[in-house]
Amino acid sequence: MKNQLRIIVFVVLVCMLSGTFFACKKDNAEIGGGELSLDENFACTITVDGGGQWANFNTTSSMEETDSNPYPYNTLETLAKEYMALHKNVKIELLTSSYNGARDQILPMLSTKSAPDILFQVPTTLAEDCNKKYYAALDEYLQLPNPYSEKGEKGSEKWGDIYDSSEYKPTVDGHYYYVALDRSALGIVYNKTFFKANNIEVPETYSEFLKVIEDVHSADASKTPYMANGGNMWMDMTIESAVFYGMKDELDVITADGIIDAHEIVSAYENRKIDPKGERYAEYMRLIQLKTKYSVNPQSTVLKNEFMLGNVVMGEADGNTVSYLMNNVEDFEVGVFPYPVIDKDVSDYVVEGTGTRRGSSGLSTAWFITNHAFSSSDAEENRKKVNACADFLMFLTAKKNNDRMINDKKVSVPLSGDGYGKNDCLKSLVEVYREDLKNENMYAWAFFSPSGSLTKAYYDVFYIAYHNFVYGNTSKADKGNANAFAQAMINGLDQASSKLKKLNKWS
Amino acid sequence: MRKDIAETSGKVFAIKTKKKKQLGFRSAEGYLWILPACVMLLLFSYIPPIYAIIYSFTDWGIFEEVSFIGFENYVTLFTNDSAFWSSFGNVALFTISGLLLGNIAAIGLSEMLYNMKNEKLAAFFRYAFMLISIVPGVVSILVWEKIIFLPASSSLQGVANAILELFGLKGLEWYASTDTIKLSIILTGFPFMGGTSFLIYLAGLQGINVSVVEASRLDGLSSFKRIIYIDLPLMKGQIKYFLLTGVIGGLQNYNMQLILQNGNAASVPGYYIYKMGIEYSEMGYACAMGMVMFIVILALTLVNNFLLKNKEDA
Amino acid sequence: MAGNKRKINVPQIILVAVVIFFAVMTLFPIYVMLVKSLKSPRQDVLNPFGITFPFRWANYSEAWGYISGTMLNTFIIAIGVTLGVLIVCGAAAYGFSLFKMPGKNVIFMFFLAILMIPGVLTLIPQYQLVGMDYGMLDSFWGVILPTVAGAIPMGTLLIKTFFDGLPRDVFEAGEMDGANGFIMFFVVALPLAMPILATQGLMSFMGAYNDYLWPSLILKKESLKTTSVILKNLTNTLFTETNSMCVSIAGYVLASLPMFVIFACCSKQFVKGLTSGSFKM
Repeated sequence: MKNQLRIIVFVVLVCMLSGTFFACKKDNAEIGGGELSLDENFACTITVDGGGQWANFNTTSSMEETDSNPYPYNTLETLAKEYMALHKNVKIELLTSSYNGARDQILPMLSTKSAPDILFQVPTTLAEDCNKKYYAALDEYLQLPNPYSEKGEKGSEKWGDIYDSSEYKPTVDGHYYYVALDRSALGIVYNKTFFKANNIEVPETYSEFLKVIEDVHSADASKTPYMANGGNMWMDMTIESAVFYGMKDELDVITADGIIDAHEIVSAYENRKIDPKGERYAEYMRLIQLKTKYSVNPQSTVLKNEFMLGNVVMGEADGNTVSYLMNNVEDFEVGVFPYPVIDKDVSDYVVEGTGTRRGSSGLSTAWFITNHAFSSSDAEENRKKVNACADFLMFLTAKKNNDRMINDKKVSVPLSGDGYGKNDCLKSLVEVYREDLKNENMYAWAFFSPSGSLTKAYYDVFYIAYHNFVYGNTSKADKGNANAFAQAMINGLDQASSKLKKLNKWS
Repeated sequence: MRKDIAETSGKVFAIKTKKKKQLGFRSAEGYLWILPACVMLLLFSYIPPIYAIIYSFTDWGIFEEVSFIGFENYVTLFTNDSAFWSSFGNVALFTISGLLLGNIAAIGLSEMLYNMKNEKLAAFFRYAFMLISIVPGVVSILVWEKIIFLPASSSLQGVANAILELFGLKGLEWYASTDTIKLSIILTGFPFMGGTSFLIYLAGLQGINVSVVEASRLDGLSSFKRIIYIDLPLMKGQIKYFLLTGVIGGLQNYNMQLILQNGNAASVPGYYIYKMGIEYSEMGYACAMGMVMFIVILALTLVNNFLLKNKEDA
Repeated sequence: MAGNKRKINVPQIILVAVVIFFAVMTLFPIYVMLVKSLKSPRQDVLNPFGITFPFRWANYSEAWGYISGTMLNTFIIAIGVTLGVLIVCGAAAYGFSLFKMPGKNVIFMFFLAILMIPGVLTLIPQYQLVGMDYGMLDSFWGVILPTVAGAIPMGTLLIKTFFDGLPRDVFEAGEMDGANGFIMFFVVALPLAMPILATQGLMSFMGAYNDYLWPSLILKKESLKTTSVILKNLTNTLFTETNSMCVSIAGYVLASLPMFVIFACCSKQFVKGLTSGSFKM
């Protein structure tokens, strides 16, 4: 027995010693200073992931359109070839399939600096990532003129001009770590034939929308008047923003830029200006309950299928869903209208004459320059490689290239707004969005959205509490339980604000 | 009756006592046989867990630099984290039910195939039950979520609800509701017979001396009694194997939680660690949780071994 | 006595009926897989699980186009892993079971202890170790060696359990005849252990064949990718674009065809009365 003990102790000691030896290894890769433009004499290879939020931009297996290959595509590859023809020193390697932002594969690669140089991700975990030098900061590049934009185009003077300042916000630490390549188109698909047969008109305001839901129900109680899309809470973000827009001057104080960012949310929460148990959130809960009066649980039923079968009359949809339904449904006519404006009639908290911009939730398909691009030990080399990646991104976001890249996939809208999707199905949404952009009184979708701006943990807490509240995923008794929803939000906000304060050293 | 069992057990006992003697080969040669395995483990398997132990005392994952924070992770874990501890209740439930259902089914199937007189049929069924392993995870979860356990609130009717209604009971929400999600997870995989587990029991049954089987039949023992009094004790090794690996694996398992939408409602420690480490980037804290789990599993395994050893000596 | 063969054996018929019942329930997912693999996207929406005509055989040709390049890679890795596991674990189990060694139990406890740390925590350090420190990125060894190492604890335990359960008479007979441990392994232990080796080999092969996470991290070059990685990505992409996974399910059916052959080989190892020959007194 004593011998065995000795062996155990010996082995454990050896383990700990060797472990400390390994743990002490540190490698810091710096990005040197110097010029920010592409160095024509620096040979490098850039790997590009090619993923997108609504559909991927990798080359499809064939260019023939069939029902199992509805979006044949090779434009990104073509653009890469054109870029390589312009700059003989750069080689662009496009992956054949994207990682689709899968966190469990990407995190190990980021930890070991072996991710593709340009990577697609959905930026929900950015708050947790930004302290670890996983991505190159793009702030300085955004100030430079885009050499591929023509005169007079947005971006020709300053690359960052292609984005409206209220749609493109920096991360919690104030830096920009990604560029967005397209815009989402969001709206409500509806069964045009059903509307016509029952003399129902397309609603423009939320009050009208709620009335349409009742009309559909009385016309045919077997159909679901309205259904959300999976677990997505897009329309609810517009409601949350609309209800809190009235507090704009109180909230938008740290950086007055038209968006309530994470720092402002945390500080407002700590000062009790935002209270999940207060009046505004109660109003928010009332409004979201109204639209789901006859809804089915969107997590156990698939919107695309139910709509196609004719069981659902109106459904929240992204550009991909809109395109799919408008191009594939044969039994009835399909139309789409933008989200209704939350009007004063339905809620006193709404500021008269204002609303969230309709037609698009703003930017999507975020591409990052990962630490693989600055993984060499030579700081200057790192700078040159990051320059090359940024240059390629500038190439892809210049209007004529971006239009081609996004329009050829026909699922989302290019940055310039000049694209209407497959068979122009997204046209009405895009046009409404362009109008609303010019209107001062229409503000960004994510004006106030704690679930999207804080930590991923808060997003998860909110997601679960929201679905419990609206659809009763827990025992039916919790459905509509405002107190439980508010309490979950409070618990989540406590944790998120303490984590963010620690991360960013806010007071 | 009892006399028959005693006679046959006597023969089994005689064989069992012989089993205990070890061979007296040179022990140096023994070390040579286990050397390749030890080397591979040293090179690939033992260093990462050491990292995990060390990282549990740091705040790895939050900032770029990893700094030692002593026992802070453990303090938070023990004082402030009720979600982690309550998830242990779930994993205990799933592990115990999984062990019971899985092993009874596997033993049952292996016995049925062993007793099948027609060798061609037995071979065919062995083949058929193995085939289930080719089904990818995507398809199995599709079958269980969308066909068998389709919630009552869907427009179509699922198989399980149809069966319930045959007996006059109301359909359930299965995976979609927190009330029934645990039951659904326990029942997923019914009849728990496919794959390779039954093969391991079958291999164990092959090791039984056929003369013992003959003897039991001549003594007039019915097949059923033979199973309980002869086969099971001789399969003790395999049962121990499944108990051991079942406890170690079952306590860490979180496959269902990952796939289901409502996964958080039936959270298990493994899932919680995954979320903390991979999605919320708090790897140091996750490592601390992992260490606690390691201690729990180690303790349970030692207890398991101790109990089983005692039973054998008795 | 000759009349016995003619009697209808009722218990056997019940046995077969019961087994058929369970077999149908167990094999139901395979039926679903086959049915779905022949659907077009439109049929998939209208009738997700019933048999729909006409069959869309094009699913198979399209799927083959995606995975044809990867089948060889997957095979190499799976065979490498299986051989590695059988050799290493077989040897280790033999050593643990049949030799007297001081500290044997402690060493074995260390084998098992590695299993007790949740795998998700060791993922990143192991990736750093194999990919960066050992430099095995983009190499089959980077997949085969860690997978074999990972399978050692369970595999050794399984085969050791089997060896423990074998009667010692045979080995003692060999010892008296003057054979040493090495010869005993090949002449006595291996033939006796065929069923369990076949089972372990099958489990290792299947595991390596379908392994997704590790190959996707280590094998980045297009020419080296394995079938399961391609199929998983394909499922996501196709589902986003066409709302249907039927082509990728056809891919899974194609990828699993070799398994049918391998299962048949493995099944042959289970013959009743394997040990009966050595006990003829």
